[in-house]
Amino acid sequence: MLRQDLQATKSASGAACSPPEHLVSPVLLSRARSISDEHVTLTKKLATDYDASAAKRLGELQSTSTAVKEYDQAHSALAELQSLLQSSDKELRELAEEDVQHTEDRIEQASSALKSSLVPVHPFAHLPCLVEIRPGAGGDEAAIFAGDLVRMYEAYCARTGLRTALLKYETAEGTVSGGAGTTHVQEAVLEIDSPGAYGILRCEAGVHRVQRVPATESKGRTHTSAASVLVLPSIDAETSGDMGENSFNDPRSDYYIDPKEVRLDVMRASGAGGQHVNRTESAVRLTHLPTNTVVSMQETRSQIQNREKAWQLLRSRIAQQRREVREEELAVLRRGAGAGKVGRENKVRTYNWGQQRVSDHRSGLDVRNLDDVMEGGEALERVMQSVRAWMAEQEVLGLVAEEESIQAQKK
Amino acid sequence: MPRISPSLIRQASHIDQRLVRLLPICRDLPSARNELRWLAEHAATKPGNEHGKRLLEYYIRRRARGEPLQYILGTEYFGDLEMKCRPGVLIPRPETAASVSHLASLLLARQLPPRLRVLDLCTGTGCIPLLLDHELRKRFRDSTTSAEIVAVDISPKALALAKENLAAQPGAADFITFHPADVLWDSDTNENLNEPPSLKEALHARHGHGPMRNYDILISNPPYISPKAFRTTTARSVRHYEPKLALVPPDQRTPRSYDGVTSDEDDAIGDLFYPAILRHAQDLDVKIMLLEVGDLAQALRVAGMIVRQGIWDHVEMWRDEPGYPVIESVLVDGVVITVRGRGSGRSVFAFRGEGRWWLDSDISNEWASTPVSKA
Repeated sequence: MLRQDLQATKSASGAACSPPEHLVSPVLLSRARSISDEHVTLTKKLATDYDASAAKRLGELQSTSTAVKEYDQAHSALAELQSLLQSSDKELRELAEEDVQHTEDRIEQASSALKSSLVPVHPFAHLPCLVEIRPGAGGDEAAIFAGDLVRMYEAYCARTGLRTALLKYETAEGTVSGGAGTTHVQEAVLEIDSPGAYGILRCEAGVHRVQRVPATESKGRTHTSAASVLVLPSIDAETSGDMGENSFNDPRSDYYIDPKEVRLDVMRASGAGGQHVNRTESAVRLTHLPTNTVVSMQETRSQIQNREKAWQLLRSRIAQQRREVREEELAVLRRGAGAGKVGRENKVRTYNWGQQRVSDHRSGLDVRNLDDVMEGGEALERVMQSVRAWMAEQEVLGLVAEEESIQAQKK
Repeated sequence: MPRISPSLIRQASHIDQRLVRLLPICRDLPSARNELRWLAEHAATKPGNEHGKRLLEYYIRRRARGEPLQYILGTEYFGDLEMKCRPGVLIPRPETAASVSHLASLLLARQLPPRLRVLDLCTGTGCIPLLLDHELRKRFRDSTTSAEIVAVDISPKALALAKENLAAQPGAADFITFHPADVLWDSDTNENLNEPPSLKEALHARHGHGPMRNYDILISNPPYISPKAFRTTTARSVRHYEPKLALVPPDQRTPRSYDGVTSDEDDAIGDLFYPAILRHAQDLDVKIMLLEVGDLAQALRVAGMIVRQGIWDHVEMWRDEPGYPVIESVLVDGVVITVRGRGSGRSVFAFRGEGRWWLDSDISNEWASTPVSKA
């Protein structure tokens, strides 16, 4: 599918070359070459004086630069072979013919390495994350499904060795022990504090749809309900220092929030306090005044812990809003290439109990092992991997569209 | 107390019958839900999980009868710390933690004497010395300053619990000691060996006889509820389950008139500890003092006593959240007094002499413009 799209892009840009040597679209190739040039310049610069940020940048460019070299070497090898094929010496021609297939394979490998080296690593992929799950349309059934999703992700994380903690778990029963898998979840926030969790789970963001006969349905009709999953990269006070520009003390960071712009309310009934009463309310509410974003937290009996958790959630939400604004601008550039936005508004996956099937609408993958998916098993990993591959393809398409529009502006 | 509305009860019963039983004590649905969850979590931590349901049922029954949640769960959070709680000892209140943390945030490590001496009267669970020590050690991390805290209480139950809480905080035992003492009994010698010693006797026992050693900071959350307020405005759960000894000062009028107490007399009983504490502060040459009170009216009365004592350079009243950036002022005995923060009147704060230099300049500058002295 990727190859077809790229060829379509290529013919649209008017480059008429014979396959297979141009698997990489010209715009991508020119971007790769400019990165490779920057790599050469930086290498020279670092030879004379050391600079930490230049060294870091050099590391980021390394894989593209290597891939371009290999791509060029493979191409010149093929060009050499083709000139040998024109040779009058029969023996030489036969030798060349033997090597053509091998060299073409080499070009193909170099091309895909080149493309994947261009896909930028998400800037927050190395961070831990928060997964927010809320019921959508569908009443009780949606709330039950939201609870199923919480358990699915908990099981997935437990199996893959990711550390989790429930930051917020609001149920209609007001109790954690809901019994045999029928907890009505109003809002759940799962904190996954292993590094890299955002890169692993960001493919889960979006609307998850369920089709089944609900436990609450007496006539045996199948209902369709939904729950929304929001995945936010997360940084906390301890790791913030090491995050460079992601630090929430750095005003340039998406995570930076001016404490003066936040109103803290300790939610407590008015009236007498002190020795006269003995209250158990420990709820804390934070309001980010410029965006009117409100976070309230009463998970623990400790007001201090509630305040810290509320700040963590507020920072993640504000950072997400800021990033969405930026991504929206990029998406305008990319829309021409049909690249979809991975936002919260899109229906991303359907869980169908009747057919015991899970379909991801982005990658187009169907798996039949619904139970294993819901238990966070291998089947879920397969679905997630297909989405990650799809997202990488979307990135490449986006890059092509972006590069083309930049070049169009130059002309 | 107003009745719970029938619609709220219906709403609760729709979700979980157990919430209906918790509603009368919790008053609203979100609180009832939280408490039910905490009780369930607590029941789940107990060994022998097969009894989990019965244990939870037992907890709910106790809570519904009005027993404080903290006595059932056995702890309460106080600032960053979790304090053990037991019947017979007052449960720490979040407002107290806010005052103590605010005081700690005002102290300047570089200006303080290298070994700061702190006295806490009526310590209860020991929450004030433990939180102050915790906050100060955080603040003094990069300096050679340390605080030595002496805390006293009249109740053996409270002292036993305070020592347990001390043992639970790593390193705190190097800085804090607990001693039995009766703050109200003013005597140099202990005449009756069966009673707890007077404060002076207790401090002599701590430091050895000889000239009395001075203290830099005095803190206290003494009993401050008047007999009338105990009957009327004190919550039922507090009245029935928390120790009256920690809430209401003893009625020392002689002769007692049992046919009613005037409003002024009632206030005077509620305020009983403060004159005694002010005398101790003067005798021990205290430089900074923080006293918790019940409301703004009591804060005004206590501020008046401090102004009239005539030895203090600056007096303030703090509300529940003293750090909240709102400042008002009131006139007490012809002196303008700053009221900080938002919420109910919660404590009275005063300093004098070099105490001024130990505090953040915010407060000491204001002092320069509003001297506490009667013209």
